[in-house]
Amino acid sequence: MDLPPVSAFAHDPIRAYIEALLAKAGFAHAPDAERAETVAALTAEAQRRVGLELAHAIDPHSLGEFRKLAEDGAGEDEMAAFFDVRVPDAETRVRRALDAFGRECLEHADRLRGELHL
Amino acid sequence: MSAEGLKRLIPVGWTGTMRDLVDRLADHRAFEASLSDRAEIARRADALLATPAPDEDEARRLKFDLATTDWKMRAEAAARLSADGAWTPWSVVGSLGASASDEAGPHDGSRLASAILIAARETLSPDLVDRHAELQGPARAALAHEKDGSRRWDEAARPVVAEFAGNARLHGADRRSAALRALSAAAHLKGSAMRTPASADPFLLGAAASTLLRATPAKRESATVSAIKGLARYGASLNAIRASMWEDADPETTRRMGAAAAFAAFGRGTAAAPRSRAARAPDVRAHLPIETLGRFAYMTADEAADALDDEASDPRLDAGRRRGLETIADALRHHPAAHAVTCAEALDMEAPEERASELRPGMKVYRAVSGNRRRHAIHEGKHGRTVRCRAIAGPDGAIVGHLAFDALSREFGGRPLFAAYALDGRRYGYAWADERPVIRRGEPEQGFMTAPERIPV
Repeated sequence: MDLPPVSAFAHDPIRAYIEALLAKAGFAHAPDAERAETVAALTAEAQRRVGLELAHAIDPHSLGEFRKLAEDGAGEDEMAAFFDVRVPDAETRVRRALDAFGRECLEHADRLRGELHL
Repeated sequence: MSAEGLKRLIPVGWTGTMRDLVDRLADHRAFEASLSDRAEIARRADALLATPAPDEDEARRLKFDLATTDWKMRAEAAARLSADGAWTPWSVVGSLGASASDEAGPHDGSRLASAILIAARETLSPDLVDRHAELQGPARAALAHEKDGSRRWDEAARPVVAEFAGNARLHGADRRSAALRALSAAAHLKGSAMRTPASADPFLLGAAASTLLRATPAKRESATVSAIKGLARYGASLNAIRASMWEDADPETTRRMGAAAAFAAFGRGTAAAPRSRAARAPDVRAHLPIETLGRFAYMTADEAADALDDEASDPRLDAGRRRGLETIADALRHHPAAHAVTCAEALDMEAPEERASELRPGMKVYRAVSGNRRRHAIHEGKHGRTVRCRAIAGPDGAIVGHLAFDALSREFGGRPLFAAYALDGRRYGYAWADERPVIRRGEPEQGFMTAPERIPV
């Protein structure tokens, strides 16, 4: 199944990707409340997946530094600068993680729809 | 329970009151209702039976297909849809309760059972009553008297018709025939609303709604909801497995790490925890790649809708793509300030970098917003008079120049004209103001309307 592209123009590319993913999975017209909750939950999970992917790319010492940054309440720019320096191929890794996450979700959605005769 | 099954519960030669019959059916669990509900069902069923059903010829005459705009084609499509028999309200009701192979005839038992079922449905489902009221009242009036009434009717009827399609699926119809039945019923309802008195509505609307028992729609909804929730749970479980390999991080830190990495990669986003936006409409951008929409970003929303409609009319497009284009065009057109905001603003998307291009003869142009929208471009018009101009974009979304959107500009041969200016301010040509502006080189009196400035050799 084709994956939706990650939009470079959306305000929040990961959320936009999840919205497109749900539409692709056939849930574009699911009830609003459930759909909105699922978008929020899957967006968080997609971010988490990207985080897990990046965790393998940096050493434990850098991980500690990032944790300290997060605890100090650093903004997006500061945290992004951290990745710019520590992970030169961050964009490739992010896209790869999102692709993997999207593919697994679409496959599971297919299975669910088959089981529930939707 | 089907209409046919209910009919079997009605004893031959029944002479009791409607209320007794409703009690009998309720006791056999055809539906669950309180005593007051039963009284209301009996009252409505009596009223429904007192309303004459339209005859077969009339019902056939009213058929047309919503999917086309041409009336002749609608009639032909409807004839194809109804090749298996007339869509009288009674046969529609019969088709709801029974599987496709059953033959429900408009005889007395079926009529009685249908009336009770419709009354039960309307009484037990307040949601449907509201829809019914909307269709019978404001939507019907809009359909009859307002220019945009047809769309309003379609919007009001959509949930009812969707329910009809779902119900037909539950009763054994395949996806295609369920959709065809729904379309046909929608067409029947609309035609009826346009041409017949309101007295037949209870039958038609009840028929279209068609859910026989309360449990049925709840079951159908829970399947979709459980599927989408199952998907969210699955996403979490995938990460839980991976997180177990990385012991030293809590889920929130991992999430923030991912959000920050995405911000680094794409240059936008947020590290804040995603929240549910329950009131938000479905994101129409999901219908098309954002790159496609980027082309229309600087056009005003109503002009972008026209441009999207132009694209959608290309016969080479597949149905999905066409539907996507039309959905976004509709969303843009419904924006409260469609003439004033850009397509990007209307869709809440980040506008790509503005592009500029050159005017070309024969170019179709659209109103656009460029730079500071409060400052219109001022150019020199005829006899040195200054004219206020608006930015225009070509079909590919690039800003190409300005048009004098000014009622006092000019006219030629009784037709109003726009003056066209290139981006550097020099006068380029003109466009007729009473149609979609198409750039023409020179002056109208010169006669070579769209001849190119230079012919490349």
